[in-house]
Amino acid sequence: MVLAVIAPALHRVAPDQAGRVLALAVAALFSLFALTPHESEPLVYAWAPSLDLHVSLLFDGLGKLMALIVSGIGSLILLYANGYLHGDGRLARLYAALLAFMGAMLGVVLGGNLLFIFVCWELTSVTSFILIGFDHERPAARAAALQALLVTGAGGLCLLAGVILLGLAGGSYELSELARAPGLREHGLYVPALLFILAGAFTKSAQVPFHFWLPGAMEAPTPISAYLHSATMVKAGVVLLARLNPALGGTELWFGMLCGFGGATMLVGNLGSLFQTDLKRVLAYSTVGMLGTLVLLIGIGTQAAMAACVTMLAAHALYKGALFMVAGGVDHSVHTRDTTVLSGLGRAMPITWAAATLAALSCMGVLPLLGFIAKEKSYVAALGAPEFAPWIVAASVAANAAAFAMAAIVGVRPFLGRPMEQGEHAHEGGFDLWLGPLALGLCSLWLGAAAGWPAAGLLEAAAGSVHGSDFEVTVKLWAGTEGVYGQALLLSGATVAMGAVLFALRLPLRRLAAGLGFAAALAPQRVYQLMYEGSLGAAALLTRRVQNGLLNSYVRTVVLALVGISLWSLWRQPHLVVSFSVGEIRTNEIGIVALILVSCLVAVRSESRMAAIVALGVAGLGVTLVFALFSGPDLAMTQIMVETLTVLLFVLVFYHLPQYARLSSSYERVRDLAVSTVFGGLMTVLVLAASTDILDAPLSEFYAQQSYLRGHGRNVVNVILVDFRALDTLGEITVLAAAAIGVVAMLRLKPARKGGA
Amino acid sequence: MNSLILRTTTGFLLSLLMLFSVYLMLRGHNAPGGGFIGGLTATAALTLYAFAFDVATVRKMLRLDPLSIAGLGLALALCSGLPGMVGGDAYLTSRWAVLLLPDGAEIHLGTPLLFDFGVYLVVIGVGCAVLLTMAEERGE
Repeated sequence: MVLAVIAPALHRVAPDQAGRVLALAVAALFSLFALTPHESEPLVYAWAPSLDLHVSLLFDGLGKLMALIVSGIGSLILLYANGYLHGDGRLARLYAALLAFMGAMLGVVLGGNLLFIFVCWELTSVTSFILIGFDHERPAARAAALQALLVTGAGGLCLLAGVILLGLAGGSYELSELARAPGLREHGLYVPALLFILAGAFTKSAQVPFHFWLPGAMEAPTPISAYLHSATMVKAGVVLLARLNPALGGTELWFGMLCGFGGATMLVGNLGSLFQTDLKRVLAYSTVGMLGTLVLLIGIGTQAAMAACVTMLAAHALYKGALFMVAGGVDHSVHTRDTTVLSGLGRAMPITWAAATLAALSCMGVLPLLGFIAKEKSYVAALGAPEFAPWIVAASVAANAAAFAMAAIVGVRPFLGRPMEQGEHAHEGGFDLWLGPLALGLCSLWLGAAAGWPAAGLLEAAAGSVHGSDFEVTVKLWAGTEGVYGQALLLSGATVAMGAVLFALRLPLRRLAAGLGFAAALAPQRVYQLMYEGSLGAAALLTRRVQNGLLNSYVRTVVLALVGISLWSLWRQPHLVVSFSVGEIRTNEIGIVALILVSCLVAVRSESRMAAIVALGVAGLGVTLVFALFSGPDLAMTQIMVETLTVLLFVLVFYHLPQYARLSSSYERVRDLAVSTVFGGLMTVLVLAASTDILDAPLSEFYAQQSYLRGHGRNVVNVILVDFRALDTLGEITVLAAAAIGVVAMLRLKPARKGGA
Repeated sequence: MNSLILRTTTGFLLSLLMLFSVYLMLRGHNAPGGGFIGGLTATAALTLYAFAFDVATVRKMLRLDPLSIAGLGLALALCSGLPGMVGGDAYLTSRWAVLLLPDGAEIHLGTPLLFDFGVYLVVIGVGCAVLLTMAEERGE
């Protein structure tokens, strides 16, 4: 986050190197994460203790894994962006937004307090809005960014509701305490809380039926898509579910919702990817599918499923990040991302080719890459699902087969075959462009094939923190052929065969899909459009009703609301004593009151505006006298000044006002009379009630005593204003200043209004 | 308005009123007065000046845009709460220093005075912003 602030400055100093320097800084962060041992107890910092709000960081297995992914891929992306948008003046903005996003994302994955996670979650939504709409001069990019913001923003609201309900049910917002809270799953608020949280997580992680925003978000430049959609933002929902699994998981509802939606998303995403021709959209759909798989695995909830989930998470981040960067590299080189055109680039771009091949193989789940292990594990998990195991297995096989074909389309096909027509300019991008995908591809290979498995301990810890208890995870390349492992291997074979068939049939399939019109897949998009337009219309309608521009009705609304609330709370006050004995009345007091009453009547009945203003002024001065008589010199002085300025104001606007005429109907007059009578009556009752000593010891005595001792002042009113209740005063003067800005703006806008009318 | 009498008296009155407003503001802690009342007095004085001469003269005299004055006051009030935090107390906790004059009198100076000065500036700024802009409207 700190880096985000200095990034633009750095870019100005060294435009060519800024990306590399920042990448190094983030890489340092990465190594810091890598070297810090994970632990299951959260680190707690008080943030707003009076609100029971703490920043607790949970650097457990899952947190560490995700932090590594976020920072590691982040540093490669920064490097990549440096090459991809080389010389673009907006690069500084991109760095700042990317780093801000990275900071927020780290908050989501490391947060141990649901409220803290929520804040970071919203931050990722906002920063991703900036990132997706990076090409803000293109309408398509703006629309996509808005769509992503609205969908994830609506999800964020659901999440907030869910988090609050969960906090009520579990008595805490700390994840570690929620996981230990007894009887949470039987609590009456469990079901609504779960549903709201799922809505939030599903929108963020692009589950069916909210998946449509993700392919749209491909409007962003490739470095952004690669970062947001391979490794980070869309995983936020998955991470949240994984985090909450120990607290909420294990119920029928959890299993059904996650498996149902996850499975559906898995199929829609992976199969949908085959019908696309744009490299990035293909990858986007396949990402949707992968997110579905992850949700499905969390839903299954067995130990095997958790192990598969975290392995898959790591494998996917590695290969999808690489594939996105490859797609960007290809686009950068030959200026097209159409998979039907691309071919034969291998010779011109050997390093990118190698990276693409590694990533694609990992995605296909081919020995000996990390993707293979992940896929095997997911089959084992599917076979071990408590219910519906055959269905889940079948869906997984279909989805993985589609993923196989997808990987072939994206990672292999463009580099083989005859050189394409526009291919003569094909060239390898710079060091910045190929380092990222190659490093990620090699990582897939290394983590898959390396003996002893350097990351096994981490994955084990991550799976343990998702599951809520520690258990042993064997991460081996070759698990043997016995029992479920043998079955999984068989399924893998079937997957490869089916995938190859799908790849061969991709053209007829695409034609078939085009023939069907793809109507079904677009339905949610249309619903979104309708809701978007509907809410705009409703907002306009509401504005016309509520903000009708009549000062009269605003005042009436405010007064009526005040009366209603006050009466309601008076009603609930059990021992309300209103005493009408006001003690001795002096003659001069009667005189003042009579003066006020008469001038009020004159003000209301007057036929001329000038007379009304003067009468009001007299009433105000009468009130001033009352203040002065009853020892409120400060109030009296203020009142005099306010009256003076009011008269000045009236003088200033006098010439602008229309003819003083009777504009309201009799009905309106009667209504207004009723409203003001009720208001006046209420104020009378309140004043009498306040002077009737409801409290044991009046507050004024406390202030009177403490004023000189602790406030160094003898004027109690002033000491209260500037010392005891200074925060209130601060708020008031802030409002005052803001109101002045509004008034001045409104007055200055006059020429525009004339022009419009 | 073009009245020689008004102009001449206003010239004297303005300085007197401004002085009085500062006096009101400063004595506010122990006697009736304070930043709010002082600010209103100053606003009234400046508006009177604007009536006697014109708005442009007042604006020139103020040097700063009224809204900037309000912003300055707000910033001052905000900052006056910071010293309280040094030493671990809550924001806006008052801090006092007692000056001993040679003749034995004491002057209590504290952060609330700064705060009140902030309020004073905000009120002047807001009042002048609204009134002067309206007066300009009238002139057009």
